[in-house]
Amino acid sequence: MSSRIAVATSPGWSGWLTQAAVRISPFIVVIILWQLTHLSGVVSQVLLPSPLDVVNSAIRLIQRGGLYQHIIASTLRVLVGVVIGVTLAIPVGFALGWYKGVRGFLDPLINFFRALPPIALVPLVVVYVGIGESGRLFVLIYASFFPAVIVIYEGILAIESIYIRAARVLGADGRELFLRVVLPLTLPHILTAFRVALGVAWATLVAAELVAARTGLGAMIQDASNFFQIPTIFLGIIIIGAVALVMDSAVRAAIARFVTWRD
Amino acid sequence: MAGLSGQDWRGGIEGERVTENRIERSGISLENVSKSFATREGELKVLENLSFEVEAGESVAVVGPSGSGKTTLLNLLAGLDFPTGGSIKVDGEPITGPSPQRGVIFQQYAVFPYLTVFENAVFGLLLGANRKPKAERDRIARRYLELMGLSGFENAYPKTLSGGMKQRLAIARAYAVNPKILFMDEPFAALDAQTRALMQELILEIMAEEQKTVVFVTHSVEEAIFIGNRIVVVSARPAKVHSIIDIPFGFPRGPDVKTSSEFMSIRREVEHLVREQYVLAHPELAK
Repeated sequence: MSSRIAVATSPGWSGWLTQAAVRISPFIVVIILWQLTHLSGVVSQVLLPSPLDVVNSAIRLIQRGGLYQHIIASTLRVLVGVVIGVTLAIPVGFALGWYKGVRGFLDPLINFFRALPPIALVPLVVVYVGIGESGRLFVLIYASFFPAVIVIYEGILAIESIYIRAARVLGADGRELFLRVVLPLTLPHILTAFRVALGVAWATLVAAELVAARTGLGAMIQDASNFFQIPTIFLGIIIIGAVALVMDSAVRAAIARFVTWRD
Repeated sequence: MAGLSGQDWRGGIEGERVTENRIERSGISLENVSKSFATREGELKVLENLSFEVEAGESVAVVGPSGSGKTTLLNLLAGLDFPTGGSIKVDGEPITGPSPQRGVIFQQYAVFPYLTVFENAVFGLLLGANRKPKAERDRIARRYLELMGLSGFENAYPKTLSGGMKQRLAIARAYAVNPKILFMDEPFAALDAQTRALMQELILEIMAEEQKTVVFVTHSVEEAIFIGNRIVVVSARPAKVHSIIDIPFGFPRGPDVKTSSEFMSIRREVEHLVREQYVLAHPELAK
């Protein structure tokens, strides 16, 4: 009886469990396939470690200390780079979306720099600002800025003119139009810009750390590669994927939370 | 015939309503209004020497074939666009841009999707142009939401509303800022027939309550006769005034007017006029 009541009063809890199971199950399938491939011997066991080998290498790294530092170093770099990049992109995106003249002039430039892979800048940045933290930050801001600008200004272009007209005939001036119509309609696109920028920033960060860094997951992978510690390489790759996934889910949750009005 | 019916309406209303001190109306005059757009194929004339007057407190319906530039005309009246020739004056003053004195109800509703029903209704009263103290704007918004049958939906987002409810919200939002004139652009065109009939009655009620000058565009002759004091039939593009027909029914009007023989005969007459223009506009459809 009590269990029936518990189920009836907390459908959210069991629903959450089911959802979590659905989300996790594909990963479990991949891990099982991975283990089977490892056992089958199709690939040399030296080149393809088992999931357990990777777990062991994680435990070893945690005991020796350093794994957390690598994770934190990379995560912080991504967060700081993305926050600065997107923050800079917001006014630029608005200017591009709102003023035809600005758009006509800057659009080709923005597209050129966006098409340029940020990694291609790494050697130049190393020459200019060295292999320090500021160089990596620069590359990350660059990597986040351009896709964010594009997402934001295309979002503004997509605003239906009927809302602008409706606000104007109610008496809205330019400032009110911006604050009360354009900004709220653009908020979902700003959050999407964060998602896109996070994806690009992770890809760029690891490449930057592979070349020139002593901390960070990219550096960890590079070190492991130098010492032929294949389980650690796997560990690094898996952690990068997991952290990126967590961040993406967080932004998606924020969108669901703050943009309840959307269909 | 026309003068009389207009007189009936105004006389009746002014006698009854002195309590709600919001009555301020405006007349409109259009003089040789022309509008053309530059297109790749050259100049497209949409309106040509359009002239008519709308008296204060009147309800004028503009009907004409689709594509005849009715929406263009409404954009000019609202101040969202400007004529290429002629002049439009409100109380003798030329229109220089949009104004909260002239409200617009759009066919696409245009309620703000990111605001709740209440926030939409109160939107205009938060703007510098018509700002009211909180207690007053809340009272006004609630009053119009109630008039439009939306009480109880204050916290809902538009995505959960039906088309008819969204349009009622748009009407409440437009009335809340107390414009002198209301323009309606095919306000009920996207609604099903049943909702549409009820919306027409609802708009007649609020019009009787508020007595604003109303200009509305519709392609439904029945709607035009039911809601209007006068009907302006515009020709195929470029739109000119083809004829102006006075509607002999006084206000308030109920749905039973629609079945009277007089209504039917006016409807037949106007539909014939519109049909002629429609055939001119779309010769490929004529037999």
